Amino acid sequence: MRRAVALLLLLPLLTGCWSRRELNDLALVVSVGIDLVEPAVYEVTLGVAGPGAAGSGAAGAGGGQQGGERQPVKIVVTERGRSFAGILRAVELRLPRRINLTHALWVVVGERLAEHGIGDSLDFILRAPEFRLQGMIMMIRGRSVRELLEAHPLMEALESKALTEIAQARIGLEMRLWEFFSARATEYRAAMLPIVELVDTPDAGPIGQRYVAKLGGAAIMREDRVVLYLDAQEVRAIKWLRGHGREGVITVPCGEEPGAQDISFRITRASVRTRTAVKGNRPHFDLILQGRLRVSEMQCPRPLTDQQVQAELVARAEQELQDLVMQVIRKLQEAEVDPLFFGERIRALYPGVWRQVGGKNWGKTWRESPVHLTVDLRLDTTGLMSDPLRAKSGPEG
Amino acid sequence: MSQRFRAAGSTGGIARISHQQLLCLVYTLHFTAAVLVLPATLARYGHSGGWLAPLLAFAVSALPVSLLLALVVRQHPQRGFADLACHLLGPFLGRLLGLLTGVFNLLIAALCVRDVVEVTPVAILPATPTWAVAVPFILVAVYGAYSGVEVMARLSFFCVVATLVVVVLSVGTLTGLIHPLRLLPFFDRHPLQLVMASWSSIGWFAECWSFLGLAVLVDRREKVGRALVLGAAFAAVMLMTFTALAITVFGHQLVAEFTFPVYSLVQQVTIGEFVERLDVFMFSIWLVGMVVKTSTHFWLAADGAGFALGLKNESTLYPALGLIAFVVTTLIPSLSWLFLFSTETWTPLSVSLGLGVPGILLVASWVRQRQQRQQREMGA
Repeated sequence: MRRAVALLLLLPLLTGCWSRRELNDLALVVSVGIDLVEPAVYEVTLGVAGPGAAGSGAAGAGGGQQGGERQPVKIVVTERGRSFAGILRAVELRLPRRINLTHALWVVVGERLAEHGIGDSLDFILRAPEFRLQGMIMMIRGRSVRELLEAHPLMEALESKALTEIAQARIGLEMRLWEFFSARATEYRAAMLPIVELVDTPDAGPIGQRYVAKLGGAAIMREDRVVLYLDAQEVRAIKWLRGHGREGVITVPCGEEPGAQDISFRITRASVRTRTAVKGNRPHFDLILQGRLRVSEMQCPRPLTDQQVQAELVARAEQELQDLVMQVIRKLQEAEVDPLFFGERIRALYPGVWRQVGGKNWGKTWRESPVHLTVDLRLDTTGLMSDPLRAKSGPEG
Repeated sequence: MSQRFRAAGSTGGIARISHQQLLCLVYTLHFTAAVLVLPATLARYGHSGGWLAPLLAFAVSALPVSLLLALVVRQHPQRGFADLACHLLGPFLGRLLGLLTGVFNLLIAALCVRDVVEVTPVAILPATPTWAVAVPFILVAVYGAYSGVEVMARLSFFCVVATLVVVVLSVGTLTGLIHPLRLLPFFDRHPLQLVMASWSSIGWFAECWSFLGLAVLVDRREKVGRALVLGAAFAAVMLMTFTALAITVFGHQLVAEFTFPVYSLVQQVTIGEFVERLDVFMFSIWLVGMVVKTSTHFWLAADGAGFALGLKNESTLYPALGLIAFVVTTLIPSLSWLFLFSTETWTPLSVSLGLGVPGILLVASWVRQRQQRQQREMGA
């Protein structure tokens, strides 16, 4: 046993200070953006955590205080070149610190690159051991990558942190690097990119700017370029179909006649089941979306305790969800892109059929595949209130 | 012929390990080196069904070789490696077998060092020169071999427990990322796909013929077969598990492109978005396993070569073996060359020796027993 312990004690010989670098000699990159400026010329923008990032907490264009001077929370550097490695070297020629990518948890793809074709421009992410594949990837639309990285977020010190938190809350679409590359590695599954936009809002006034980054819709790619854009509403359907429908909201008219008043349901549980069948080399899909609802807002003076009223309102929610999901599925089929797992199911369960209609032909097969959808929602609770205050029901009417 | 058991380190005592320790040691020897590099090959050739290939490799190579070896050891209890070789094959062929075992194990040890030298810069020390990783590792492994095989056997139990913890942690934390349908179909073109996928692992499992020097140390010879088979089976199951986990998370297409897919997989392990970067911790466990494996192969190499050269004390060979392993490591051009070597050269060599050596020993044993029976009958 002593020998075993002695052996274990010798193991630290294997670690070493050979490649030691002090923390204040490192430029910690927290976000990486890449866009295309000319054919085969890329523009890489790095968001580097400044010395003030450690000390600052809430919003503010300023940074932490150190020795009476304001330290920047972040530094944004941009460089152009033909390869990521060359660009990094060029950046290091003007930064006093060595670039460290181990904390880069956010990758932003520019609109021009995404529409022109990503190709292998993101190959460096998979090759570099420093990159952590559980980081997020997104696409900026309408603005440059630099403008996004320079924007100051609400309530966080760094934009990358803010958008990562929003994505992790699964309110918008969350796309991890490994998931993105997993789709890109196949020839039948379309990769998706959540879209970030800079929106003009007075919310950013206190921090001295006009724009705030907002997580919105999604871009769907065929091979390596964007072929379809979905808005934020349609992304909800994608989330349902990915099994992440929870925490979503469904709002439908609540009056007996169509009007301006609505009821909002919060989804407390969501699941999706897919049944697959093949009839004569043609795949058929049966989707069943199931969910539980909670009333979060009721604007109509109708009694929610009335079972008929409940059933009617839940039926409207089911119809609204059904219409939305079918609309998105039709869009995906028209564009011949399958970002979900329909093709994966055929490949796994019907390999013989897949050999004929799958692989590179899956887009066309998917376009012709009938999809039948059933939505089953149940109301769990009306919240802390039963009927709205103006409801005409009960003994006291 | 005097009995010749390998002395345990510097204590001068007789080395003995239990059959449970042999099981843990065999598991560590089969599993540790394969787990980082094998899944990519399995996914490349086997596609979604590549995770089944270790089971096929176990059935085709580890199982028959282990059973043959166990039969040899059971038929000749109370005989160590050297005594067994001389008794069955004669002094000259016995020493030749010793030399072959020595060279074979030394080669495996050098390949292990190369694996460590390739993985360590990726995981933790990107700027450290190759020799600065190889030399300390070889020193530790040689010291481990000098300490004796019982030390390695005890340490291998830690490796078994640690890898079980890793797999439970991985399955528990990655459950939300798993898509079980990615494991299907078992073969998308023809069943031979699985054979192609298992080809390199067949060679790795067949290396167990060189565990003869360990098998003769077991205190209860009748349990040797069980230990060898169960250790290899457990290693095959764990390899299947890690490969399946990688394929269900990343898809076989991406796993095939990774150099170290299991390392990329464990990078995804987080506990509640709070405890992250457990890949370094898991790398440390892998490194301990590699120390056990390399030390054991050094020990087996010294055991065989010491017998072949007629040395009374094999520990004098360790510095030379360490130096030779270092030189061989530096001669290997690259990881891609290593992959090619393991499929085109190593597998046929290992399988030939794996089935040939125990087979020849068994035939020789049968011939000897027949001769002894005839002599007894003539004497009677």
